[in-house]
Amino acid sequence: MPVYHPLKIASSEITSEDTYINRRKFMTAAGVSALGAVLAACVPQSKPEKVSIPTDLKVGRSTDELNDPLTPFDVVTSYNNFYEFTTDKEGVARLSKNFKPLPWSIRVDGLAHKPKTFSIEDIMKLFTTEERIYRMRCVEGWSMVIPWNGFTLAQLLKKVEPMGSAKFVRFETVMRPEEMPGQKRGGFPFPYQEGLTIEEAMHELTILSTGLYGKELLNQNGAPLRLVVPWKYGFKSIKSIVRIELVEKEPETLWSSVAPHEYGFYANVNPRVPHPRWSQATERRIGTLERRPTLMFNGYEAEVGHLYAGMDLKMNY
Amino acid sequence: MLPFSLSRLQLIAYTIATIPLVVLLIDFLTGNLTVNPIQEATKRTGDFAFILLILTLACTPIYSLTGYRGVQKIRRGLGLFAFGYAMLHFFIYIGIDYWFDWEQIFNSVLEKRYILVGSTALIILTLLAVTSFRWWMVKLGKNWKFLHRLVYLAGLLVVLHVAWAVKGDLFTLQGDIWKPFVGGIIVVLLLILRIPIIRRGISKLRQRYSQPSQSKSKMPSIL
Repeated sequence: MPVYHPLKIASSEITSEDTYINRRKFMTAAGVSALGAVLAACVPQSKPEKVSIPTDLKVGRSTDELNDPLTPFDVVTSYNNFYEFTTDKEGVARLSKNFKPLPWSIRVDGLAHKPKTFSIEDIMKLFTTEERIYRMRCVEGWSMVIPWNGFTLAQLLKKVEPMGSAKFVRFETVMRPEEMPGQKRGGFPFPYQEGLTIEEAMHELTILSTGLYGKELLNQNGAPLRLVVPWKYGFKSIKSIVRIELVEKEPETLWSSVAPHEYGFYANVNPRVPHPRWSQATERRIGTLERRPTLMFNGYEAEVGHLYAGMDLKMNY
Repeated sequence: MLPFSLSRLQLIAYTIATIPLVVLLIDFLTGNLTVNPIQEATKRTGDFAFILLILTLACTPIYSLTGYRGVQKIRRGLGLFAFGYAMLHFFIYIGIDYWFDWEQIFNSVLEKRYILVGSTALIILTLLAVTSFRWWMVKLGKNWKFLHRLVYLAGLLVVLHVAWAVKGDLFTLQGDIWKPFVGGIIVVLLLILRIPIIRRGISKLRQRYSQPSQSKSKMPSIL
């Protein structure tokens, strides 16, 4: 289990609790938020409680390194963006029931000295999984804290010996319209594809996940193998991967081909780069009703900031 | 008894239009509004407002197509329901989602194009709702009709609002765009049916079609 250094977040980035509470008090006093207050009072659990972990689930700790509680297993497995099944986040779990994650193999090739196809069994034998508790920030403005089980992508890439000319990594999701009804609908150029720079791909925080909460990944979470890049918006963390290709040029990615001015290649979580639709300055942690400030690089700035030194993050959104 | 009388169609229409609100409240109170209830409530109220606005816009064309006068009686009511859901949509967003945090709203929300067109549509709907009473109708006279033609603009702005609020690009037909796509086609179609030359053509066709039934006396006159 990797040890994270406590993160240094510039105090200017965070609304201080005092300011926050005072503002809230003022609003309540002014009676402006009366409607909100009434409704909020009706909602059970407006603050996320520390999760009591069911006995069949295994986690090392119950919070992330910023002391925010894990998002409950039931929530992580019932509220998913996985357009290969449906655009309805609550419908994915049901519609992905018939998806068959086994047998499975992943082709890792491209600019590699030893391209190879791995079966999922090979992968489980070759790499020891560890727990990584990461924040998952969706571009839609909500977030979760998820205890993933996985291994670094770097370990897998090293097995195929990337050539010096490999500057980017391209990922591709399985294409199975018979099992994935969303792939039959128009509108999206499936198969889903994503990409990272080679530096991002080799980074210690970038993992391939095979499970969460100590259980094998469920179909709705991208079984049997998915990417998790915690400092980028959730859509970069491509699911149900069948191909990983080392390439020279920046690969096309699904969302940037659908709406290029909204979704760039980098898609780093950045509260200072606005999106035409959702506020990226704040987010709602699932299980709470309040908006909280979004952290630069989703709170992983100390670890990944150097990757983007000197880069114009507004241009490279 | 009610202080005013409702036709059967009005009763049915307004009851149906109230159901989504009741379901929303029940789902809210029983915790069935997904794990992201504010987003879900915003989405639902927005959808209802959009559908009701389309139905409002459909009344007059349905009347010219079928000659059935009853629909004209529910036009105002449906419009007010659309306005009501739109207001709820707005207040959930501003009040519950953003807690009237004006700093946030001015800095990172108002700049968004879908918010701008949506707010413009809401201002129009508010104006129309306020002036929908007979008193205003009399007071404004001829201008009332001109003012209320702004509903066409509101319809188009709402299509744009929805188009820019979904993940995708309506103009390249990419992404999750069925909602603004279908809604947009219906709104445009409903507006086309109002173009005088088309409307006259349709009513002529209808008259010729229903001529053999010898029901000429029952034919309502078309404006």
